[in-house]
Amino acid sequence: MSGNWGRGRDLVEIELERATRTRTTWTIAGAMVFVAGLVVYGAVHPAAASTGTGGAGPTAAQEIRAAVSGVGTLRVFVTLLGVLLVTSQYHHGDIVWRYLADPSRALFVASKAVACAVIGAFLGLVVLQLAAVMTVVHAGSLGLSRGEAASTVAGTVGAMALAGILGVGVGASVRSQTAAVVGTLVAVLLVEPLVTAVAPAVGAYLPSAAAGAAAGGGAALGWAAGLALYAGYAAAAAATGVILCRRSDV
Amino acid sequence: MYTIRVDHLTKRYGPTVVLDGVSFQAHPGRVTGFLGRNGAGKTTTLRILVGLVAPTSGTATIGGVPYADLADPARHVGALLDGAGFHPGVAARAQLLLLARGAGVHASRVDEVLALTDLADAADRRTGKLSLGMRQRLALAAVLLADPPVLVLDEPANGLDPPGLRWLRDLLRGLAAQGRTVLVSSHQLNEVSVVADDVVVVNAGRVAAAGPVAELTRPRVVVRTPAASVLATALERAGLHAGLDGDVLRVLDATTAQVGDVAAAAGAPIHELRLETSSLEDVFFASIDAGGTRRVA
Repeated sequence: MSGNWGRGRDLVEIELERATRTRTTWTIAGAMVFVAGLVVYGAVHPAAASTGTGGAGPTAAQEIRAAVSGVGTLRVFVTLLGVLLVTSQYHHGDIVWRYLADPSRALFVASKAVACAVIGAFLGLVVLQLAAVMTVVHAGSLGLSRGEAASTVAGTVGAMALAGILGVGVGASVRSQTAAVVGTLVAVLLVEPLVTAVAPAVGAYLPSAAAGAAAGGGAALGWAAGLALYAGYAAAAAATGVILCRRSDV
Repeated sequence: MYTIRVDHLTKRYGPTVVLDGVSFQAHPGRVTGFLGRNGAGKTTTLRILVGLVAPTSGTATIGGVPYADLADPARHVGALLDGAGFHPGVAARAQLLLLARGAGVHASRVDEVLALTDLADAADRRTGKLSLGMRQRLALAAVLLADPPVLVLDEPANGLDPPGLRWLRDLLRGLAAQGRTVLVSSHQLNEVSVVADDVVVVNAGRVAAAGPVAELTRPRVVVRTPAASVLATALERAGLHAGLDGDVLRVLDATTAQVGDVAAAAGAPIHELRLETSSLEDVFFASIDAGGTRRVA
């Protein structure tokens, strides 16, 4: 048992090392932090933040919620990172070396998923920190109670981690880099908004809405329920990835 | 010591039959050449052997165990397969360090295999910047990382320059001399003929010929006579083994003079008498043209 645990930990560490050695990871992380800065600036800047409010500007609490809600949508970067870290191994052929070293498809998906969850959580903390610092600089305080701050951090970081697992599941299921990336973007940017517009009751339970609720931005779901539902989507994607990887020849 | 054993391997993709009952063995201490035209089924067989492709039926084992059931398989089998590549943005040494870690091999071995494959000077270059030959050497370095007792190499000579080919030849011979099992697929018959102890020829998903190279290429006397069955009986009585094919007899371990004398004594008129020497290329084309299976124990 401890041997399996040790082997699993080794594989996760190898996946983390592989991820940090590729420029894709740093490019996506850099782009995500940059966009997060813009999003938070839009949420807390006086001119941008007060647009449409009519009278007094937003409170610090409203600002941080808007900022967190904004950076929460950046989980698509983490999902794309998960997709690319799997599909690039198939694309470049180094998946062959990976399966020669350890033929278990389940361990491949699992170790990749854990590694991407760690990266997603880390990026979640980075952008949350960014949002907090910018809010404090602008408003003088966060305006959140300790409980609100804890649920915000847990929901946002958890959603970012799950976004990585979701991406790994999609990548392992599709394996074609172009198809997986295009499919993910179409689902997030086109299909989900369309479904939400046509049938809001259904749209409130789609992955993006669930993740948004986890980050404190949901109307139909609380943060814990949103996180649980998003975890269900991530688990389903990862399980599908394992099944399809097992069935596919390399 | 590990024997590679492939038994009645079949692989179908829908209606397409890629492998149709392929069986052969590769033994320790010998280099086994796995030959065939493009699309003959070589790569599919090797991929099944290392668990990357699932067979429709049949088994492939290494030391009696399927690859996926080997404990730490990379420590037992070094495999170079068509399509195996490296991320172009990662340096050669970093790639090998990752693979070494995955295989449970000490990091110091990375520099050893880099030196062995003459890549020490290119170790810190991104693999996308390496030439085709250097990438092939890097792949061979990866294969040798765990110093495995079994090597499965699919077209290892691809991209190598003449010095590289000589190096590879010496490497394979040396590995077999150490008692390792070496299975090498190739369509470069000249390369295989100078390095292989045994060959397996596949054609259209079937084994067309198999056996030791020395046996398959052994010289034989060819005699054409209208009294072929009479001469065959006379040769058997003289202690010579003759293979009969229409009006042609092929006699192993004999001289033209011996066969001519037996024919004269038996009263068989001779229309043709010559010594036939076969190269591996002759064996290859004869076996794939014949369509059947030729095995020499």
